[in-house]
Formats: sequence, C-alpha cells, structure tokens
Amino acid sequence: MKYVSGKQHRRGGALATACAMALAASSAAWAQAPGGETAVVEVRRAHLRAEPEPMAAISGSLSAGDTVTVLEKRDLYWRVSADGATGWIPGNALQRQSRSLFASQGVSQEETALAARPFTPEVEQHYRQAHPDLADGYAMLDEIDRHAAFNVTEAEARQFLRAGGLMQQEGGR
Amino acid sequence: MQKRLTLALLAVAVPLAGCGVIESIPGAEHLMPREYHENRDLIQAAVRTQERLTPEQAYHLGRAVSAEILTRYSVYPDEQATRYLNQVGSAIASASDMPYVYNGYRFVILDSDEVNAFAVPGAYIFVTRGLLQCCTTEDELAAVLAHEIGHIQAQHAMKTIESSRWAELTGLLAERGISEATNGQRVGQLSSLMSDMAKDVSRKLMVNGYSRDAEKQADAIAVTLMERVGYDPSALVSMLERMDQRLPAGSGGFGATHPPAAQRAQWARSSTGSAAETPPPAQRQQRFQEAMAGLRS
Repeated sequence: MKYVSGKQHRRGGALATACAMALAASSAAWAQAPGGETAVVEVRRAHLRAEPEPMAAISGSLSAGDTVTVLEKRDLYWRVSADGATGWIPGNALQRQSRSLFASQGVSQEETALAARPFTPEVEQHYRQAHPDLADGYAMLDEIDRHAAFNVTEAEARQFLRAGGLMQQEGGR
Repeated sequence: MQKRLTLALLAVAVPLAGCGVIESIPGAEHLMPREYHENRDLIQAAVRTQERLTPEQAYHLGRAVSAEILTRYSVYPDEQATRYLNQVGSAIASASDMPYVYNGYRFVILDSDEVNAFAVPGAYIFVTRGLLQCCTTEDELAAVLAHEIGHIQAQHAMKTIESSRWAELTGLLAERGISEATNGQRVGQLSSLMSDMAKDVSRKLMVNGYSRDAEKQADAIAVTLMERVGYDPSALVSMLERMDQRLPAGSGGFGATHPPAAQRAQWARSSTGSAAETPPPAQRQQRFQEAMAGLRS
C-alpha cells in the first residue's frame, strides 16, 4: 500500500481531501437537470435502438468517444440523442460526463479524462515489456481480436438465430 | 502497524460501502473503528473508482489476465468450430443486459481435455475442448456460454480484485494533481497495479473459483438469456448432469473451481421448472453436429 507508507503516508490527509473534492465535484456534475446531462460512448461500436430492448430495430450507430445528450432513463436503457439520431442504448456502454473531476485542484479537463482511465494502451505496452513471458499470449490475443472467426456482426447473429428457429421477433424480451 | 490496520479496514469497508451496507444499518457507522471515519472519504472514493472503471479499462485488464491463460493453454485451431461458437455466443450476448463491451465478445476454444471455462473482463470467454465435448446439442452449448456471459454481465471477475487495489488506484488518480511523479513513473505504477489486479482475477478464475452465490447468479442469468433468445433453458440442467458424470470427484479444473455440477443442476431445475429437455429442431441440431464434427476427443 504505497499511499499509507513513508512520505506518502504524511500526505494521507491531502489525499483524503483530494478524494473528497473529487467526489463533491463529480456529484455536482452528475446532478445536472435531465436534458442537460451528457455522456460519452465508452465502447468501440454501439447501436441506438427504437425500443429499450436488446436487438430492437436500429435507429443509429455510435463509436467510442462520441458525446450524446441524455433525454430519459428507463432501468438499464437510456434514451439519448447524437448528431440528429435519437434512440435507446444500455447505460453501461456510456460514462456520464463530469465537467472536471478534479477541477477544484486546477487540473485541466484533458488531465481529468486521463485520470479517469488508468489502463491505457501505453500502460499495456509497459506491462507487456515488463512481462516477456506473456509475449506469446498477447500475440495470440492480438490475432483473436483481428481474426474474422471471432468477429460476428449483429446482422450475422440475427440471421444465425433465425436459421436456428430462434428469436423470431425484433427485440428480446 | 498503521499500514496493516488500514489494509484490513479497506478490505472490509470498501465492499460494505460499495453495497451501501454501512449506511443502510442504523447506527452502524458509530460502531466502525476510528480509522474508518478518518479514511471515510478515501473508502468512498475507492468504491467510486471501482464503479467508474470504463469498459476500455476492463478490456486492458482482461487482456493481461487472458495473456496469462494463454501461456497455460493453447488455442484449439478449428476455424469452423470457433466461428460457430462465436455465432452462438454473440447471439446470446446481444440479448444480454451488457450487449456492448469495449471490443466485442470473443469466444475462444482451449485445446484441453479439462472440463473448464473462464469469463475474463473485456470480454474474452475461454471454453475448453473437454467442456464442449460435454454438450450434445446447441442448446446445451448455449447454456455453457450464457453462464459465462452471466459472469461478465454481473462483473464477477472485477469483484474478485482486492479492495486495497481500488484504494491504491484511487490514491494514484487523486495524486495526479499533487504528485511530482513523471509520466514514465506513473505508467510504471499503473502497470504494476494492473499486474496485481490481473493476478487477483487469474487466481480466482484458475485456482479458487467464484463463490457459490456468484455461480448461482450466473446460472440464473443463463436461464433468463436462454429464454430471451429462445433456447430451451432445461438444456442447462441436462448439460450440468452430463458434466457431473464426466467430472470424477476430486478432479481439477472446473470441478475444483465450481460448486458440484449435481447441485447446480438442482438449482437450475428449480429455476426452469422443467425436468426434460425438448429436442431441438432438426436444422439447429444439424448445424451443431457439423460445427463440432472436427472436435477431436
């Protein structure tokens, strides 16, 4: 536990204060009125849907980093708008946007974005170099990510279900 | 002494605070030790850090865990079976409460006679050839994959990470504005923390196994997902019963990391309310047999 030992231990009070500030700042940002709240897409690709149901008709597509405006929340699903398209998407694919998590410390918005995302490709690269014994495993993972056998589109999954006499209707519930 | 006390406190307080247990019991906060009140902000911040980890973070952490799995097991190079596994798995994942993960679901066959499966954050799902050979229908294969997707949806692997790691991560993030550490040092610290978290998950997946409650929850999610898609949920029962026959008492792998298959079959039977598996339609059975034809025993 690095933060409770040695020099860092003496900063314990400052650290707890920083955490408290972070909580207060993020809570304030999250408490924005409906309609004013924005969120960022946190997955590489996602669809907007006409209904708050899995595999309902697609009304738009989103990519990682896209910003959406949150219009309504219904259990798991949020109704959002982005670039003229409106539709439903599971909230767990989004991250509500905080104006500045550590704003009270004068940390920039850009730094805040980095701070909320500790495990970056840069960190993975460092990890791979520090663990040469995992090189073959990582090489295989890179191939798994690229190879067509592991990549099934939604259209293909839908056709597969139909061919197997499954999920005949739009939507899964 | 202080360090040990804080570690012990975090190990207990972070999960309790995360579930809202301490706040929900009247007077519970007054019973907590002085260290709890002194570190209350830090504990809450650690909970928030755990909850705020994005799908991309789970992906990078999951790759660290997966790379370790792939040093112990080889990938079974059967493109037809792999493609089919990904079609069944992706169809079920699309109907789950977590249809979108950072880079999509990936279902991988491990070349092992062991009967075992691992659901890794991110979401890489590994299934051994031995487990696939326990399945006699697509519905039974769907039951296996739906159970693993259940672990992903419930984020069971993330919950196996020791509480102190979340507190340490919170500390690293909060210190960003006040620390003099260079970017290189910071990347090194985060890489080291990722290593610790990956070890926590690997140990749980490959050695200790999830709790019975987690397995029960994954089975319950599996039944729900199978019903949503249209698979016969009683296939979970028949698959578990066959696994019970194939897993000798005291065997390693799945047998060591999961509750007895017979007990799980009993839970599943009470969830599905049906004793007998309905035979699948001919076209579904045919494609299952064609895809699995190359799977050597």
